[in-house]
Amino acid sequence: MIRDLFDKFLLLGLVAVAVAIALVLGGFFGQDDALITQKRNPAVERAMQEKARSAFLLETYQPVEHLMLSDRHAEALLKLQEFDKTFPGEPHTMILRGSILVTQGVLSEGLAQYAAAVKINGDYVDEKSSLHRRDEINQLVESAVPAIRKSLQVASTPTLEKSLRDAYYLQSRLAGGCE
Amino acid sequence: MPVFDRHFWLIVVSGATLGLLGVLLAVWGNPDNSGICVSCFVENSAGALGLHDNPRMQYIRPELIGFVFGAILSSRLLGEFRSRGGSAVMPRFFSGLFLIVGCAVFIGCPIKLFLRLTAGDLTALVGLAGLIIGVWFGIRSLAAGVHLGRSEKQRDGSGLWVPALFLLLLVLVLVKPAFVRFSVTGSAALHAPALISLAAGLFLGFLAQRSRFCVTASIRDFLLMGRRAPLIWGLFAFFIVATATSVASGGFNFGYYGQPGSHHDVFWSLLGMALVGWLSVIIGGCPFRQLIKAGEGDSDAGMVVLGMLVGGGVVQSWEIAATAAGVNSFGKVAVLVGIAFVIILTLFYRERGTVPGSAT
Repeated sequence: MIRDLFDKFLLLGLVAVAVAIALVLGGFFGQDDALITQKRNPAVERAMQEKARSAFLLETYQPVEHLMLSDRHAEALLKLQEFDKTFPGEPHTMILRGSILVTQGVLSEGLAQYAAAVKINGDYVDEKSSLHRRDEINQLVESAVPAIRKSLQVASTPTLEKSLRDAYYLQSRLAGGCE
Repeated sequence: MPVFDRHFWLIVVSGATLGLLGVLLAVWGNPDNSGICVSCFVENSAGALGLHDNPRMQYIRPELIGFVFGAILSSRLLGEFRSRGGSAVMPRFFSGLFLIVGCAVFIGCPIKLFLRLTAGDLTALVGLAGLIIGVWFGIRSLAAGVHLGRSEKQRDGSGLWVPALFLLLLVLVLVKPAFVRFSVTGSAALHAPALISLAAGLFLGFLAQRSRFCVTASIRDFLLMGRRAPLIWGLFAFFIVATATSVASGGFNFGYYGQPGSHHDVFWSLLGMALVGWLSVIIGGCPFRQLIKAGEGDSDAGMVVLGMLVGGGVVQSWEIAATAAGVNSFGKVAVLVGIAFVIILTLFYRERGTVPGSAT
């Protein structure tokens, strides 16, 4: 490969570049802002954002959870309607509404809310997330699927079919996969 | 029946090992039914490099690095590393992109398709049908004179650029600089230990380079030659070993509903895999095989790999990738555009006047 002086010159240049890279990374030319992260460390930022988001949601929705624990479901639902205006499209509102509706026996709507929440934020089925509600969703799916199938055998309605699709969707998300 | 020579048994061992490690990597930490999935891994790696911002899909998968390096090692040891390329470079780049589109709409590459099947996931049957249909169209295209051109010997070193890229990825995995993203939740947060993934990838890359094992080529050869084709026996070995390992590890869950990483939009699953099958035959291999060939110095395959990486970013950024909820409109349009692409490719690269019955 090395045939003449020009090749040797090129090879020397390559070695010089490699040395220069090593020196820059080693800080020989001064601690560069980029190396000492002028911006905050993105990985740490993401972890902090994740934790801050979870903490914010849990704190903000605590009044609703308190009402739910006291079996004051109607008031909890009204509170969630207020949150719909403050935080439109927020999956945490949906998941809490779903929980209340299921408790009140409104299975179809409850399942729809759970499915909608998980579609937006998969953390609700992720064990590694502080927001996860795997056990609750698992219990719901385990009881809902046979019940809906039984109902469908008696009479098939679009509402029941949608509920079954929502239940299967939650079942699939609980099973895992690439999302 | 095939000739039961050394190459035959190498193919069988490769298939069996792929099946075994494909299941074991999921046991060791990779997502369920995705112990090995080239398309999912490419999407994860693209996310880690900042090509998309889905926070649940960002991790450089060491398995991909292992596949390429295993192929380099094997080809170098046996004198098969040859820098070659220059054949229909841009079409190959876009073929790589559309390979990932097809896989993302199905949710899995051909290897994951079989891993899903061997885990009892009946939704993968539709994907298999699509893959076979696509491979059939690919064979018909080749028979009609579609030819992307011969790969030419390239100057020394040109086949090393894509391996060099994967070397950089390895450095990024080991050093973990701040600009590389790593998911903390989601499927990309599920992974086997990096060294185990890398070692498994190296071993599989080595075996696959030696045996030339490829899922779509197995189907292609079976359609052309029946049971005489050695590669189909490799796929058969994959199926048997993966099924047995799934059952033994408790990961076997027979059924259509509630399967991990699957959806019920059967038509689009079929179409997505048909796209993958058709493209794979025309460009000479499935996504896994393209990585192996890139490791052998084939820069045409290298361009496919680069297209796959870009595709990994695009399918997530543009919300093309399917989810358990199904395939959205973007995904449907993307698959249809991919089908149009492969049809146009077939039309433009058909050598006319040289095949009986073709237009002059």
